[in-house]
Amino acid sequence: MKDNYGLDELTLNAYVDGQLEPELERRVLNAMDTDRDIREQVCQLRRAKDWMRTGYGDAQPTEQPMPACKKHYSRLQTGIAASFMALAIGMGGGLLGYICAERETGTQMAAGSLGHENPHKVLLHLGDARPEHFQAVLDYAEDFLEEHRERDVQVEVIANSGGINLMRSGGSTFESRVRELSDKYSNLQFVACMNALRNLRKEGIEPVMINDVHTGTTAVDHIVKRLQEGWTYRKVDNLSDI
Amino acid sequence: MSLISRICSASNMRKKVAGSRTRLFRVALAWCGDQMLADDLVQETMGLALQKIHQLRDPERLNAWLYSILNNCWKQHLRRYRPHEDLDDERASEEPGPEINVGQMEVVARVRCAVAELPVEQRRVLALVDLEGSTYGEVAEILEIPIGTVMSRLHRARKSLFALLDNSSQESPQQTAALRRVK
Repeated sequence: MKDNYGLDELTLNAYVDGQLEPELERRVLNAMDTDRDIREQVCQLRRAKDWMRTGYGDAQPTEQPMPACKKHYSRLQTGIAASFMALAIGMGGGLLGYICAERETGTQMAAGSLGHENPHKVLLHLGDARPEHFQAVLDYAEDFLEEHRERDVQVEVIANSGGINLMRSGGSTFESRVRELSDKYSNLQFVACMNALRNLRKEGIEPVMINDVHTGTTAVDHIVKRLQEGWTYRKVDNLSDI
Repeated sequence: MSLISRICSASNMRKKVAGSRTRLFRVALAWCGDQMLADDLVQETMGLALQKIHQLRDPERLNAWLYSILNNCWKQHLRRYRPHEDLDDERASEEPGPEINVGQMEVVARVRCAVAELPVEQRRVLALVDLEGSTYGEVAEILEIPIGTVMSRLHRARKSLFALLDNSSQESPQQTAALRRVK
C-alpha cells in the first residue's frame, strides 16, 4: 500500500536498512519532514531493528576448538607442512653456510675457502651507523678491487638499519668517497635496504641517498639472493671481521 | 599464485573463518532459538567451510558463503528433526503470541521469544539483515530467493515483531492478533 508520497512499506524498510538509491532516500526524508504517519512507521521499523540487536547482540557461542579439517583441506595442510619442512631445510642450509662464512676472517673471506662460495663475488653487510665500520668496509672494498683489477670480480656493500645513514646524501661524511669509488670501479655497488628507508619515512624523515646507492630491495632479500648465487657474504659487525 | 602466497592465503582464510564464529552463532541463534543447537550448527558450518575453502574463489565473499553453508545446515536439521514443520510464511498466527506470557521478562528474553514466534523463513531474513547487516542482494543470494521475497518477508517479520513487542500491544492481545492477521 502506498501513501500520498508514493512510498510503500517495503520502501520504508529499505530506507531503514540503507538500501535505497540517494534519490529515493531523499524522497523518504522529505516525506518524513511533513508526514507524521511516515515518521511513525520509520520509527517503528528502527525499533524493530534495535530489538534484534538487543536480543542477540551479546549472545556468545560456547568456546569450541576449530573443527578438524578433512578431505581437501587436509591435503592443503599436508602441502603446507611439506613446504615448511622444505623451507626449514633450505633455511637451515643457508644458516649453516652463513655460520661457516662467519668463521672466516680478513681477506680470507674473499679468497673463498668454502667450496661453494665464489671468492670473486663479495657481499659486505653493514648493519650499524658506526663510521669506523663503514670506513673499514670501504677500505676493504677498494683494496680488494685494486688487488683483483685484472679479474672479473664484483663487490657489493649493502646497508640496513642504522647503516643506511652512512649512505645518505648530505648527512654522510663518506659521500664523496662513495661517489669516488663508484666512479672508479664499475664492479662496485652500494645498496640501501628498502625496509630501513621505509622506517625512516615512518619517522617523518625523507632520506635522500647518495646518487650511486641502489634502493630497490630489502637487505634480507638481497642477501638471500646473493647467497643463492654463491656470493661470499660477510656481515661487518666489528673490525675484526675485515 | 606462488606457493607462499597460497599458504598465506589459506592460513588467512582459516583465521577469518575462525573469527566468524560469534557472528554466525548470533544468526544461528536467531534462526533456531536454541543455544546448543546454534553452537552445533555453527560448528558444522565451520567444519564444512574449512573442508571446502578451496571452492571459495572470491575471498571478499567469505561472509555470504559462510551464511549459505549455515543456511544449508539449518535446512538439513529441519528436514531431519522437524520434517512436518511448515516452513512457509503462512504460518498460523491466531494462537496467542508471547506477549501474554512474557510481560515480566527482560528485553532480551522477550525479543528472543518474539523472534521464535516468527515463521522460519522470516527469521532467516530478519537475522541476516538486522544482525549481520547483509544487503538485500546478499540475503537473496544466501537464501536463494528473489530480492522481492526478501523485502516482503522482512517487512512482515518486522511488523509482527513490533506487534509482539510493542508495549502498547501487550495491553491488548486481541488487537495484536488482528494486526498479525493483516499479513
